[in-house]
Amino acid sequence: MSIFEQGLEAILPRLRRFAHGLAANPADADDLTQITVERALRAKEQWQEGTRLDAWLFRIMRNCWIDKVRARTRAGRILAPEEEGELIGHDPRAEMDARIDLARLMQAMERLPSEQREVVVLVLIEGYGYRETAELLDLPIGTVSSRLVRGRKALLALVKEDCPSD
Amino acid sequence: MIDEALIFHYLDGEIDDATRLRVEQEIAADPDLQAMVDEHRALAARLDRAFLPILTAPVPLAMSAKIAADSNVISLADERARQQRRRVSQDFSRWAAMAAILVAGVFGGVMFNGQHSGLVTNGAPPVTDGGSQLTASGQLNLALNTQLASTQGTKEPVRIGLTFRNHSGAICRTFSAQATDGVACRDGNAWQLKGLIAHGQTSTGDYRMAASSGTTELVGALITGEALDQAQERAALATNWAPSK
Repeated sequence: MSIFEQGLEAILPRLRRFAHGLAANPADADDLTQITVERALRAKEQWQEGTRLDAWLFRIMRNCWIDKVRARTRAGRILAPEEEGELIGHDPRAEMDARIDLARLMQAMERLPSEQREVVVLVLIEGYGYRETAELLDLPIGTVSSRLVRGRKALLALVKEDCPSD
Repeated sequence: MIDEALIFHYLDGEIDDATRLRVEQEIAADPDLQAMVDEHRALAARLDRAFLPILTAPVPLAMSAKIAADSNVISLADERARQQRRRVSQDFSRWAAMAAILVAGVFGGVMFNGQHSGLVTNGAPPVTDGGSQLTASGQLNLALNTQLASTQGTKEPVRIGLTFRNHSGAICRTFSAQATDGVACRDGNAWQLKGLIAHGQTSTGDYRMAASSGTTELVGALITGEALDQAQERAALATNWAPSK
C-alpha cells in the first residue's frame, strides 16, 4: 500500500465521523464516505505528498456533500424522515444512549443551513481551529466565526425544542 | 455587554491570554452570560460524546476493500499477465503445498482432536487437488453450497463470511474454519479456491465472523461492487450460485 492509501485508511474513521456530521442519517453518511473514497482514489495524483491529507480528503467530502445537497434541493426534497430505529441500529458497539443521541443530533443538524452546518461540524465535532476551517472551506476567518455563532445558536435552539425538559 | 462572537472564541480557545481573562471576568459578573456559556459548553460536550463512537466503530468492509483493491491494481496488465502465467505454468507445486497445509495442518487438526469429526464426512477430504486448481469438496463444498451467512449456526465446522461477485460476475464466498480463512469462487458446478490463509487455531471453536483481516486484501482484489446482502445471498443460492449475465 502506498503512503496515500495508508493515509486514507488511517483517516477513514474521521472521514466517516465528518460524514455523519454532514449527512442526514447514518446510511447517507456511509454513502457519502464511499463516494468520497472513490473520488479521492481517482484523484490521488492531485494530492501532493507532504501536504495535509486530512484537509484534502475533508474538502473532497464537503464538495461531494454540497453536490448532493444541491441535487436534492433541485429534486424538491421528497425524502421521508427515516425511522428512528433505522438510525440507531447502526453501530452495535456504541452505547445505546449515545446512538439515540447521535440520531437526534443528526436530525437537528440537518435543519441548519449547510454553510452553518459545515463549520459547526468542523469546529465542534472535528476539532479544527478557525484558521484551519477557513483554509479548508476557502473562506475568510471572519466568515467562519460569524457562521459558527449563528450555527451553534440555531443548533442549541433546535436541541432545546427537541428536548424541552433538558 | 461583551461581543457575542468573543464568547464563542473564548469557548473554542481562539483567544489570547489577556482577552481570556477579561472574558472570564465578564462571565463571572453576569449570571445570564454564565448560563449561556454553560449551555454552549454542554452542547459541545454532547456533540463530542455522540459522534466519538464513530471513530472506533468498525469501518464497513466495502470501504477498506475499495482502498485495498486500489493498491492492488497499480498495474492491472502486470497482474493479468501474472495470473496467466500462474494458470499455465508450474505453480502447481505452490497449490499442492497449500493443499498440504489445508488438509494436514488445518482440517487435519480437526480430525486429530476429533472436535468436529463431521468435517471429514465419510473420510472425504475438504479439498480435491484437480491439477493446477484446488476445488472444495466434502464439508467445505457443502458449506459453500448450502450455508447462508444470515442463518448458519454458531457451531458449524465451516462458517461463511461474505458473498460477493468477482470481476467476471462469478459468485465468491469467504469462509472460515478452525485455523484457516479462505476465499472460493464458483466455477461451473465447483468452488475453486482462490486463497487460503492459515491463522493458527482459535480458542475453542470460536470462529471469526465475516472476512477476517487475512482475506480482506484478497476480497479487495476480487470484489466488484458491494458484497451481497442477506436477500441477495439467498437469491444467489436459489440460482445455484450462477454467474451474472
